[in-house]
Order: sequence, then structure tokens, then C-alpha cells
Amino acid sequence: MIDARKQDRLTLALGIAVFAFAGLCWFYALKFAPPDAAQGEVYRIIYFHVPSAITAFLSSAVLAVLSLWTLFKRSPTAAVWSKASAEVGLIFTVLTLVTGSIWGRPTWGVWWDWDARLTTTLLLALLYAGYLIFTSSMSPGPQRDRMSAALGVIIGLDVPIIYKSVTWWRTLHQPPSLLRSGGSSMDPDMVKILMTCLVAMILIGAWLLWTRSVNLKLQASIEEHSHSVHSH
Amino acid sequence: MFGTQTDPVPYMAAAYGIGIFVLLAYSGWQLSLRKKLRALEIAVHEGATNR
Amino acid sequence: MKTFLAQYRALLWQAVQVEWANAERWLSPLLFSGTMILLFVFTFGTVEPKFIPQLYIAATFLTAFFSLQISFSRVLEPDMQDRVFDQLRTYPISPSAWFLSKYTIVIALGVLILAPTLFLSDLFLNVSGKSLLNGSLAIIALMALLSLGALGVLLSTMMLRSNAKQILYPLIYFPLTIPVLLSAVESSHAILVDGKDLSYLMSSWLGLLVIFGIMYFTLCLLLFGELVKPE
Repeated sequence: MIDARKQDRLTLALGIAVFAFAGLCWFYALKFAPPDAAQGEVYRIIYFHVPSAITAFLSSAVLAVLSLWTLFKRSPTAAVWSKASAEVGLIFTVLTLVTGSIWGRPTWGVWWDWDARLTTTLLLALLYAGYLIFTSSMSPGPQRDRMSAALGVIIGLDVPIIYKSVTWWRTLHQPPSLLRSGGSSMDPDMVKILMTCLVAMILIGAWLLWTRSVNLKLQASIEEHSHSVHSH
Repeated sequence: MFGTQTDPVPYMAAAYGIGIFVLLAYSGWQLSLRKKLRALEIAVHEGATNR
Repeated sequence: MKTFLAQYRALLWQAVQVEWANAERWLSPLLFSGTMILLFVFTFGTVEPKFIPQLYIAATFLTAFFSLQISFSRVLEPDMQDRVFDQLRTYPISPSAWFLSKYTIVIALGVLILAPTLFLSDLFLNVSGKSLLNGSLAIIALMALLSLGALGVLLSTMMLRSNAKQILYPLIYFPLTIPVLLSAVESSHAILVDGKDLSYLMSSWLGLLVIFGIMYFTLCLLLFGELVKPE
């Protein structure tokens, strides 16, 4: 129990630290980052949107690795971490879609664009949602862990393929646009701030993953113990 | 370019506001869930030792 | 090798008998195809002749996708009766033989659904008088089927004990098969609209379709083996 209290205090302390760091990064990005020549001030949404997107895609890689571990090592702990990574991934994909949409409106005049990255993010959100519905639709146990792990592996390995095929699909249909992000190179100061915000977002993602995994393990252990108490 | 013509503040406020709110809300939910689960864990443990 | 082939033949024959015994299993996806194509006709109304090939491609692949996934999602259902699936897992059967037998039946059913779908789409949607059916299109559809089938069998195995199979299957199947669908649609578009041939397409979308097919087949074969291992 003492270890549990220590763990909870550490969780809270780390949480405050990562959010404080992220808050500082965003404050700096909003206040001190140089304005964009083409987009003006509204481009600053990039310092939230792009780190969210990268963290969302990183979550799918984490999901694939944890799923492989679950499949080959039959580890229930890895299965719990996989579920947590899918949840965290879903949150970041939704944030990417929402902030991308908000950014698109003043910049390109539309709430939605079939840009390769946004399209892949939308598909990834569907996959994460499907994965989570799938895990909750099966009874807990090693079978569920194995089936979810197989799905996690497929999702993680398929995401880069989906991204490339959607990119080719869009570039063959539309001429390349200098107005799209990535059409022109970023100012080095902007890149530095973006990288710092990215680190902050990944740290938030890692903290959420850890916190959620511990909660899921705790939940599973309580259920297991309450079943064994009632069966005696 | 739209960006230089429209007022950027509402869009930036919306994007950052929604983003930070969602992250904090999820974090807060997890932390309060942790508290409840710890209390349950103690209750279940006590229930087992009393038998 | 002999044992592998014997197991493959036995499992395939069992699957064929089950599918053949119940006509509903292959008739209902076919009827569903027909209904969907008619829906397209009624919802699109009169279409300008220059858009007919695009409509044909969209209607065919969308219809085929939904009909195929009905068929694919049920491929392991007969094995759930009398706990055949659980018993087979404990037998010393090669998982690859098992996967290949299911894959073969899924491809056979897929051809049974795709061929009439291609034909009916051309019949009902194409009012230009010149048939859009050709061998190249059939090859593209078959290549797409080979990829979709592999993923179909794996997902069907995963969803066997899920309570939300009906919703989950299309929800998960669609995003995972986007690369295949895009490649098939773009290849068909290049043939019917841009007038390209298969050899040209091998260096672009059709080549991708072949690569995706090989990747999905290999991945699904490996994962299927892990899924059916006894605990």
C-alpha cells in the first residue's frame, strides 16, 4: 500500500511537470514564435496540431510493438498497455482532426480537406475506435488478449501503408500546392519551437499511457480478487 | 491567403482551448479513477482478509 | 508436404460442403449485390455519359466490397457449431493448411460474387451501349479480391467470439483495406477513363495492388497461425 501511495504521488507529480512544460512551450509558441509570411498568426495552431498528429501515429507504432509482445510472450501486462495506447492514440487522433479542421477554416476557407495526412488520421481514428470496441466486446482472458494483439499488429503495420497510398492518391489527383504545409520549408526558429512542442506532447502521451495502464491493471486485479472472494 | 485576412484569435483560442481542455479532462478523469480504484482495492483486500 | 496437402484438401472439402449445403450462404451476398447496384441506379438518376465509367467503378467496387465482407465475415461460422473450431485447434493440423483452405473458399465465393457484380453494374449503370467489361478489369478485380480475402479470413477469425461482430467487421475492415481499394479504383480508372493498359499500370497502381496482396497474404497467414494456437 505504501508503494501504491508513492506510485500515485509520483504519477501526480510527473503529470503536473509534463503539463507545466507543455504549457510553457505553447505559451512561448503563441507569444514569441515569429509570424508566418503567408498565413500570419493563425499558423501557430501548428504547434499543437502537428505534435498531436505525430503522437497519434507514434501510438500506433507503440500499439504494434506491444501487440507483438502480447502475441509472442503471452503477456497480460502488454495487453493492458496495448489497450491504453489505443485509447491515448484515439484522443490524439481526435485532437489532430479537430485542430486541423479549425486551422483549415481560416487558412484555406474549408473545415475539411482530403489532405493525405488528415485522411489517414481519420482512418486511424476509425481503427482505434474499432480496436477499443472490439476489446470491450469480448470476455476478458487470454483469447481476447491474443485476438486484440493480432488486430493491434495489423493496425500498426497498416498505418504507414494507408498513409503512403492516400498520399499517392491525392498527389495524382491534385497539383502540388505551395499553400499546403510542407510546400515551403519552415524558418529554423519555428522548427526549434515545433520540436520542443513535439517533445512536450510525446511526454504528455507517455504519461497518459502510463497512468491509464496502471488504472486498467488495477481494475483487472480488483475484479479478479472480488471474484475469488465471492466464490469462497 | 485567408490567414492574413481573418481574425486569428478565435481560431487559435478554439484550437488550443479544446486541445488543452480535452487533455486535462482525460488526465483528471484518470487521476480521480485512480483514487477510487485504490479505495476499492483496500476494500476488496479487507474483505479477503476478514474471511 | 503430403500431410499438408491432405489436411488442406480435407478442410477445403469440409468448407465446400458446408457452403454448398446451405444455398443462403452464397445467394444472400449475390442478392445484396443486385440490390445495391439497383440502389445506385435509383439514387444517381440520369448521369452524363462522360461520368458513366467513374460511376461504374464506384458502384462495382462499393457493392463488391460490402457483399464480399458479408461473405468473408461468415466463413468461420460453420466451425463454431458443435465446437469444431476449438477441437480443430487442439488437433495437430498445420495452421497454414487451415488458413489456405479458408482462403481458397473465400476466393471462390468472392469470384462467385464479383463476376455477377461486374456484369450487373455494366448492364444497369452503363447506358452508353458500349460494354465497359474487359479482361483487364477482371484481372484488377481478382487482384483486389486476393488481398481482401486474406484480410477477410483473419478478421473473421478474430471476431469469432465478439458480440459486436456485425458492426465491428465493416468498421475495422474498411480502413484496413483502403490501400487495396484505392489501388483497384485507380487502376480501373486508368483503364476505363485514361485508356491505359495493364503493362503500364504494373509500374504504378496495379504494381502496388500486387505488392499489397503479397504483404496482406503473408501477414494474415502468420497471424492466423498465432490466433489458432491452443492456449
